[in-house]
Amino acid sequence: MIDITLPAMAWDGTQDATEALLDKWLVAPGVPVKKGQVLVSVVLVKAAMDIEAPQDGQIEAVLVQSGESFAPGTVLAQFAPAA
Amino acid sequence: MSTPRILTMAQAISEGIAQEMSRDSAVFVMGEDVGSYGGIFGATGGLLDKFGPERIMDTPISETAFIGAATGAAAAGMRPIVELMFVDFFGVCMDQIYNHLAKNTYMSGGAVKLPVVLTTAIGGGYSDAAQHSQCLYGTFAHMPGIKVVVPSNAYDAKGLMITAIRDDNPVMFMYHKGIMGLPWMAYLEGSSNAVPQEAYTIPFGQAKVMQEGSDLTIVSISQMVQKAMLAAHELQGQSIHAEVLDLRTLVPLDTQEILKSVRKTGRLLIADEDYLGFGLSGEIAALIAENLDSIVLKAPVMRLAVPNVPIPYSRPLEQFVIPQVHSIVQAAQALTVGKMAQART
Amino acid sequence: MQIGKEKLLWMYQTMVEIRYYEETMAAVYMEGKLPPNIQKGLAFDIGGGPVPGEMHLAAGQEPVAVGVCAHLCDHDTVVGTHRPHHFAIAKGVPLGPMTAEMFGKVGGLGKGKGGHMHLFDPAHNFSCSGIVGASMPIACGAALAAKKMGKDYVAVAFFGEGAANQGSFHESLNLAALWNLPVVFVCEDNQWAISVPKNKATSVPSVAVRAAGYGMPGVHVEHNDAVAVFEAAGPAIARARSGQGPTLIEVKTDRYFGHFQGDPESYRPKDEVATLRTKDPIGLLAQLLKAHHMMSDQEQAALTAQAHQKVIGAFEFARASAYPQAQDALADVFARNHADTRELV
Repeated sequence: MIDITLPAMAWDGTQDATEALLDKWLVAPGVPVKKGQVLVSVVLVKAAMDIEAPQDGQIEAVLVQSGESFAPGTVLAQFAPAA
Repeated sequence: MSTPRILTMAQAISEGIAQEMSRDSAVFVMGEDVGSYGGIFGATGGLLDKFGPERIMDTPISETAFIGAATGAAAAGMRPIVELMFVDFFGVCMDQIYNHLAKNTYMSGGAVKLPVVLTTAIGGGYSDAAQHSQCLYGTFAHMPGIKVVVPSNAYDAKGLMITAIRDDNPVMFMYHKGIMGLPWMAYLEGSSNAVPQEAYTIPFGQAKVMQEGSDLTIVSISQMVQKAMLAAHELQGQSIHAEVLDLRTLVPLDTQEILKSVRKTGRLLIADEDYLGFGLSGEIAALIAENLDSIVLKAPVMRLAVPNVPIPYSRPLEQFVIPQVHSIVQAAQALTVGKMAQART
Repeated sequence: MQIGKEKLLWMYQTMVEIRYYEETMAAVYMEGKLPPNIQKGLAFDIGGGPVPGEMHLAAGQEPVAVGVCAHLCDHDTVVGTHRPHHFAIAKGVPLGPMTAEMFGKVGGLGKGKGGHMHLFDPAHNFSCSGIVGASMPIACGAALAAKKMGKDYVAVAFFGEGAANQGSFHESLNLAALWNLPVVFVCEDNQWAISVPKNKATSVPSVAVRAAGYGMPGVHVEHNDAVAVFEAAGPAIARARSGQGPTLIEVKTDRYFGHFQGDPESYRPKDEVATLRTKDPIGLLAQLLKAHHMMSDQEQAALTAQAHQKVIGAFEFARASAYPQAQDALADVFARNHADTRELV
């Protein structure tokens, strides 16, 4: 199982405790995706970023919902790589 | 049954532009930061990737030149969409707008067609002060020759944008920053709503009854429509039933729908974010005054608008001059006080 | 070293003060704007916090302000831009009221009505505007008045390279040369007009070449260096003061932050700012001062601490100042005439 997060590097230059917004999940859990496919879009302050599937596989569980904010290091979803 | 696709007003506008640009190669976009930035308020988001820099053109800070160029290009057969970043900047290019874009068709006896859509961001409420917070649709509606379109939500914005692009006349398309649904500005969420995938049009000059009611008519436009809806919901809880009318376009103006509603309710509250003096609210009050032979008013017309002061920066001052949900509620209560008294006797 | 130690130390300390001010403001600005305590679904709320609205910071551009203002006194006029803090500080605008203005407080320069892009300090003949290109005609006016009143005051118009493509630039330069006005036009070329780089907006590689087109000297300063700016501005201001007319100076400077705070700068190459910071003009001037034995490490520490204290005190003053009363929004549209005995709204 792989943790889907917004990499720490994205938070460079922001102040401590700045949270990002989870804008929209683009893929539902259980739906097979290919490596590099965009899973979710997030916005940090004003920068919009896409998070891609690290490998072929599927999202097992979504831990942060659309419209919610999250702190650095938060696991957004659990991702199961394809066998 | 699939879940409806909710879009923000910004997304709806750029989608309407994209669909028309795919359909008609004469349509192109010019403006400051419309390209890779996607427009400062998101109105042209994603368009540069779809259509390239020849059709989504970033301009220098030269409004007179590029808005005048839109007029010239339209006369020569193109269909430009040109963005004035903030409506407050009209001062630097107004001659090209009101003496040329607005008048050439008339002065040529109808021979010259100018299919230009002039998009612009309007509105305050987020502390951008006097030079970046105005609505000014009254100013543009006052001068003959330009259609004035001011949507209050995503569904209307897309349909009105497509109509605007297909119209062979100059259309000023004014979108309020506080209902674009941007992730960096507080917005009234009623403005994001279900938008069909396919292209569709909404005719100009057709106001929409957002909510029916029998006690008073609230006439409004733009973000103020969303405030009026929130106020109407609160008033419902006090058994005051407001009918909320979204004008959608000021030129042309749907006078019939306004008169129909006021004939029904007998009470009119105009909620306007533009300046009070010599503008939209006065125009509608005059319309009523001219039709008093067929309307029975139960109370004088009430106008809520920004007093004739520049919009102040400081938050408590800005909140005071721009009508808020609670000011609409209070005005409606004052208008219907006779009704409540009657109900109690 | 041609420049006196006093002037150099003033420039150094003022740049330190400006940089610390901008860095402090960058942090304070973010208060109240970030999740989780903002509207759900937003990543940023521009209208939130103690300093709401837009914020344009000038970190990196300090040399332009100090190099020019080192030659000016209180009587001389400076008209700035939407990015005004470095000009205001270098011109001697009191920091407390300036900061209180940005907090929207009644102790602010404009009683909270103007905000960060509209700072007015008549005592120091300082003003600025949020409209691109507006500074130049106004500076011409100050110069015209000085001439008419027989004073040897000069006016300086600061503007960005984007503004050099706005009509007011061309009209102002022509007018100033034609009427031999004591005005100096200073173009801050920070290479970016929001997301549009200079080479995509300007038809010539250097704005300074346009001076010849209007009949005045044009000076290009290639390095973002206080001494270089000082040495270019000196003769220009002397010319103006002695009745020999206007000059156009263009300084290539560096914008360290985004166009506005919160700007994701996705249009900017990722390592550009890091590279620019290796040539930080404040560090460079410190090195120069030490190389000429004009400033010891202890003196530098003392100057720095003094500058920081001034900034800290200004923010404390701002926080402690009260908000205006809502009704204050209606006052000050018109100034009181000497003969007036009634209230004007």
